Amino acid sequence: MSASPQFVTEAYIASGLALGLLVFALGAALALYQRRTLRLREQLADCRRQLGAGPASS
Amino acid sequence: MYYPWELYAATFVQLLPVVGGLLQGGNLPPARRWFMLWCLLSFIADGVQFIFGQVVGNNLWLRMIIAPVQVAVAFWALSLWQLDAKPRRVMRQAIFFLIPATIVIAMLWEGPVSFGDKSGPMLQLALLAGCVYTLVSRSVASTVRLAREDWFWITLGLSLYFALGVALGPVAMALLQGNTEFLKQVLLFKARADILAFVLMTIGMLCPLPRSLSLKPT
Repeated sequence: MSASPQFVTEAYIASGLALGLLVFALGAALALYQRRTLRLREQLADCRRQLGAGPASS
Repeated sequence: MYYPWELYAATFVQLLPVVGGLLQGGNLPPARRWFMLWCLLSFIADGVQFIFGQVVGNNLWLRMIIAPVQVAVAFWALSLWQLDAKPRRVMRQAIFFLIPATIVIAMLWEGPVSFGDKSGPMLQLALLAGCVYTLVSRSVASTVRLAREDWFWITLGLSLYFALGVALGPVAMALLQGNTEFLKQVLLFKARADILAFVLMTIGMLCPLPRSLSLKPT
C-alpha cells in the first residue's frame, strides 16, 4: 500500500511549514533569551559597581 | 521548456550572500569566506545541472559528485564558527565519514537516476544538526546582540534550508513515478523556502565585521 501523490505533496508542504515555523521560533526564543541574559549581566555589573563604590564613598 | 520564475529566483538568490560578502570588502573572516564558497558552489551546481538537463536529459547523477563537495565546504564553514576545539574537530571529522558514506550509498543503492532519496536525508540531517548546534551554542555564549552576529542569520537560514531538504529526496522519488505536477508543487514550495533562507543568510553576510579578539570584552 502506498500513499497517494496528493497526500505526499500535502504532507511535505505541511511539514515544511511546521519546520519553518519551528526554526523561526527557535531563532526568536534565542534572541529573547540572549537579550534577557544581557540585561541581567548589565544589572549584575551595576550591582557590583555600586557595591564596590559603596565603602569607598562612605 | 518552461520553468516557473521561483526556480530561477531560487538559483540566483544563492548569489546574494556572495554579493553581500563582496560588499563588505576584502577583510572577511574565514567562516564567511567558506560560506561564500558554499553559496557559489550551490549556484554553479544548479547551473551545471540545468545545462546537463537541457543538453543530455538526465542530470540527477551529477549530485553524486556535487553533494559530497558541498557537504565538506558547509561543514568546514560551520566548524570555523565553533568556539570550542571539540565541536570544531567533530565537524571536520564528520566530513571524512560522510563523504565515503555518501559515495558508497549513492553507487550501491541509489544509482544515477535518483534524487538522493537515501544519502540526501543523511547529509541534510547531519548538516541541520550542525547548524542548530552552532546556532544554540553560539547564542548562549554570545555577549552582543544576536541580530548583529553573522552566524545567527546564516545558521538560521541554513537550518531552514536543510530542514526542508531532509525529506526532499524521498518525496521527489515517490512523486517521480506518477504525476509530475505534484513533484512540481513540491519543488516550487522548496524553491520559495530557499529564497527566504538565502535572504536570511544575506542579512548575516551584511552584519558588521567582528572586531579583533583583543578588543572583545572578556
